[in-house]
Amino acid sequence: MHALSERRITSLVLLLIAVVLLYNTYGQQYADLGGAFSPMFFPRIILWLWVVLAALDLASELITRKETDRPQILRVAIIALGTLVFLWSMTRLGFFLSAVPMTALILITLNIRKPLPLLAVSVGVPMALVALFNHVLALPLPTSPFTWWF
Amino acid sequence: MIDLLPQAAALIFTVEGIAVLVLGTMLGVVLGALPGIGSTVAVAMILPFTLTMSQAPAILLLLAVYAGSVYGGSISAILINTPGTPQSAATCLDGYPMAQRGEAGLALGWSTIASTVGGLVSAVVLLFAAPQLAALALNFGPIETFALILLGLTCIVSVSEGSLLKGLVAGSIGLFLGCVGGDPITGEARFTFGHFQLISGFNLLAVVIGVFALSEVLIRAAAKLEQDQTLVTFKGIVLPPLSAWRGRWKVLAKSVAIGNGIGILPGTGAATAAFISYAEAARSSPNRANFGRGEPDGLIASESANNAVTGGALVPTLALGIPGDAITAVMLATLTLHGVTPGIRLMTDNPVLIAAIFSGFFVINLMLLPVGIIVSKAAAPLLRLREGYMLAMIVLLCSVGVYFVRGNPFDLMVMGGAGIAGFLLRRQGMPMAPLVIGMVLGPTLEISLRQGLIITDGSFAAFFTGHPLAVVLVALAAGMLSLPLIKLLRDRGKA
Amino acid sequence: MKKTLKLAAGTILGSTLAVAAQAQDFPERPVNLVVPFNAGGGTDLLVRGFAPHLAEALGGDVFVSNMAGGSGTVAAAALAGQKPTGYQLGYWSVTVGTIQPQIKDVPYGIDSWAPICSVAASPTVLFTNASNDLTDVDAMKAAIEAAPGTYLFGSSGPGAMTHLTTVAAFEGLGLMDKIKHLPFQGSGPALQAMAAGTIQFFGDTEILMQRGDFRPLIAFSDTRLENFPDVPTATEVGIAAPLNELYLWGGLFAPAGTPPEIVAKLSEACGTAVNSEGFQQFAADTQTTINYRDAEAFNTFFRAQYEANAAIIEAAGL
Repeated sequence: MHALSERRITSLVLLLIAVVLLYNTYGQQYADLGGAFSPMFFPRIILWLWVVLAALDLASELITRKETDRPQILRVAIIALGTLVFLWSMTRLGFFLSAVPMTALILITLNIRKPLPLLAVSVGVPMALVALFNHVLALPLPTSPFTWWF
Repeated sequence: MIDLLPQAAALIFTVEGIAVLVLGTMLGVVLGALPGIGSTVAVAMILPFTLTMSQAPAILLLLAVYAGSVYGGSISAILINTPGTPQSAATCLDGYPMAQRGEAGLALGWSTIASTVGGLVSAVVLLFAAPQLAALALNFGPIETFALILLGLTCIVSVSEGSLLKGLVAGSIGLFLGCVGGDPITGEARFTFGHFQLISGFNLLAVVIGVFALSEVLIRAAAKLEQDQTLVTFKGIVLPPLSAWRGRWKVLAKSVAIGNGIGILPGTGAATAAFISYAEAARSSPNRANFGRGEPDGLIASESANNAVTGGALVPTLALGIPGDAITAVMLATLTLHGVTPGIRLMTDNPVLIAAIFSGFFVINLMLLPVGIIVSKAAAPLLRLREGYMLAMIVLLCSVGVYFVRGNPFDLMVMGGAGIAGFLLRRQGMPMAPLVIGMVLGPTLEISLRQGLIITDGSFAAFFTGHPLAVVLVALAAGMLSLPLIKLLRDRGKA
Repeated sequence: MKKTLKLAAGTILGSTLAVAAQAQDFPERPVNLVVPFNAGGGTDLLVRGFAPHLAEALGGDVFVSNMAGGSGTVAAAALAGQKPTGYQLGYWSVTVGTIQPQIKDVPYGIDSWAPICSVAASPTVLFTNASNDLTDVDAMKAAIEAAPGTYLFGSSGPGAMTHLTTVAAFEGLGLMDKIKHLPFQGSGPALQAMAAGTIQFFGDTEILMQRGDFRPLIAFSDTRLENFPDVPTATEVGIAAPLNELYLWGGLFAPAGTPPEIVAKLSEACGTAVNSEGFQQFAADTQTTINYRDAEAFNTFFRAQYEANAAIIEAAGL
C-alpha cells in the first residue's frame, strides 16, 4: 500500500492551485478602490470557497482510500498529445495539413489499421470539411501558408 | 394583435415564406447539431442571404435558423455528449446517460416534444403579452438578477451525483474560471499572468466542449477497447407514449414558464434558463432521485426552457428595441437593413409585420418535430460507425466548432487543456456539470452583485429592503441548499 | 466562385512570394477582411455589406472572417504579427485602434499599422430618459450638484466608447466626483437599465439613442446634429478640447510595412467602394454615417485621435 494514490494527488493539486491563486490576489498591486470596486472583491470570495472545499475534499480522500482503475496510459497520452499538437498547428499549418496526421494517429492508436478505411477517413473527412466550409459556405477554416486553397 | 392575423398569414403563406420557414428550420437544426457552430454562427452564416430578401421572409429565415439551432444543439448533446450550443449543456446531463443505456431514440423523443412545447408556448405568450411583459422586465434590476443567479447556482447541489463535496469544488473552479479576464467594472486584467489573450477570459464554449466531449474521448481511449463497439445505438427518434407523460406535465409547465421569464431579461441567456429550470425540476420533480442518471424530467426541464427562451428573448427586442443577446441583435440589425427602425415604436408602427413574425415563429416551432425526425434519421448511419472512427470524428468536429466560435487560436488550446483537465478530474469522480454551471452563471453573478453594491453604496443588507422579489428568490435558494442537509440529518436520525 | 477558380491556378505555389508581388497584379488571390468582433454584430454587418463593393472595385475576391476576443484586441494583435502583404486587412474601430492599446498590455500600438481608409464615423451623444425632468445641460448640472453621489451613468463596459463619452461629458463639466459609474455587459442591458430608471445617463451614437424614449443632452461633434438642431455641441456647453469631440469611427488597416503601391491601390479601391451606389444605399438603409478618408488623410486623423483619446482615458482612470 502506497500513501499516494491518483485520487489523493489530484485533490492535493487542486488545493495547491487554489492556495497559490488566493495568495496571488493579496500579493499583486491592484487598484484598491475598496469593497465592490476592487477587482479582487469577487475572486477572493470564490477562491476562499475553493480553498475550503478543496481542503475538505482532500481530507475525505485521506480518510477513505479509493482506488481508480488502471487506465491505458500510453494510449491516452498519445491521443491527448496528438490532439494538442493538432490544435496548436491547425492555425499555423492550416486545418487540412494538421487534421490528416492527427486523425490517422487516433485511428491507429485505437486499433483501426486496415489501410483503406484508415486512409479514406483520415484524408476524406478533413477534405470534406475544408471543401464544405472554405469553398461552399465561404466560412473559411485556417489555411496553410502554402496555398489559400486548403 | 389577433385581428391582424389574417394579414399576417398572407405575408407568411407565400411560396417564398413557406420555403424560407422549411429550409431555415432544417438548416438551423443541422447547424445547431454540429458541435460549436451554435446559434450565433448559424444566424451569422445565413445573414448574407437575407440581404436580398424582402422584410418578412428575411426575419422569418433568421428566426427559423435561430429556433432550429437551439433545438439542434440537443441532438449532439444526447448522442455524443457534445453540446452543440452552450444552452444544451444541461441536456447532456440526462440525455447522454439515456443514450448510453440504449435509449438514445427515446431521449431525442422527449427533447423534441419538450422543445416544441417550449417554443409554441413562448410564441403564444409573445403574441398576446409582449408589451406587458417587456414593461414587467424593467422591474428586474441588478439586485433581482443577483438573487435569481444565486438560485440558479443551487442546482450544483442537484447535479453533483456521486459526491456533493466534489461537485461543490467543481462549481467553485467554474466560478473562478468565470473571473479570469478583464474586470467587468474597472477593466483591469485579472489572473491573466501577462497573457493578453486571457483578457477576454476563457471562452465558455471552448471549456464546455473540452470538459464534456474531449474528456469523454480520452476516457473512452483509456478504457479497454472492444473491436466492434459503437458509441451509442440509435435508429431514429422514438416518441414517448402519452402514458409516459404522467406526472411530468408539471415539470414541463414550470420549465416553460421559467424559460419565458428568463428570456425576457436581457443579458441572461438560454444557458442560464436551462440550468435554473433544471435546478427547479431537480428540487421539485417526483423523479428527482434519478436526475443525472438519464431521467427524462431533466431533459424536459432543460430543453423546454431553452426553447422557450427563444420567444422570450424576442420580447425586449421587439417591444423595447433592446436586444437580449447576440442573436436578437442580429435580428434588429436586419430589421434596420430593411428600413424598419427598431425601438419602442416598432410594434405600433409595424403591427402587421410584428404579427407575421410572431405567427411565423409559431409555425417554425410546429415544424421542429418533423424536421427533427428527418435530420436524426439522416444522422443515424453515422452513429453506427465503429467507436474509433467516432472518437476521431468528435475531435475533428469539436475543433472546427471551437474555431468558429471566435476564430481565436487561443480558444483551441483552451479546449485542449480543458479536455485533459476534465479527463483527470472525472477520473477521480468529479462531476463536470457544476464546473460549467459555475462558469455560465459566475460572470452574471459577479456583475450583478457588484452593480447592486454600487447602487446601495456598499450595503449588502440593503439588497433585502425594498426588493421583495429578491428576498423570495434568495429564500428559495436557501431552501434548495438546505435540502441535502435536512436529508442527511434525517438519515442520521433513522440510523 | 468562378473567379476564385481562375485565381487559384496562378497562386497555389506563388502565395508565399506575395510580398514581392507587383502592385499592378494585386490582387492575385482573395483579400481577407478581418472583423475583430463576433459574426452578427454591427461592425460585422457593416463589413459584410462593404466587402462585395470593395471586391468589385479591386477586381478580385474579398472574403470576411471573424476573430473576436479582448474587445477586438485579439484580432488586431494577430494581424499586427502577419506579413504585410495587403491580402489581410482589419476593420478597426476607434476603440480597437486607439483606446485598447493605451489601456491594455497588447502587442500592438500606434506604429503597427498602415492605415488604408476610413469608412464610417458618427459622433456620440450623451442622453437621458425622456420621462425625467433633466431637460437640458443646466438642469442636469443643477440636479447632480444638488445631490452628489445619487446619480448614475452607465456604460457598455469599462473602456468602451459609451464609457468614454460619459466620462468626457462629466469630466468636461467638472462633475466627475459627484456622479457614479455603473458598467454593464453590452449596450442592451444598459439601455434596459436606462428605461427602468436604474441609471440616468448613457452615451452612444444617435442611431442607438433613437431606439428608445430618450432625450439627447450633448452632441460630441464639431457642429450641431442635423436631426437634433436644438441639442448643443460639447464645445457650446463649455467642454474643452480634447474632450469635446468623440466619433465612433472605423476603417481598414493593413500591418505596417505594406508596400506603399499596394496601400495606394487599396485606398483608391476603398474610395470607389465607399462611393459606389450600392454601398451608399446600404449605408442609408443601416443609418451608417459614411466618412471616407484616403490613406494619407486617415493616417493623420488616426494619429491625432490616438493622442486625443489619451486624455479621455486619463480622465476615466483606466
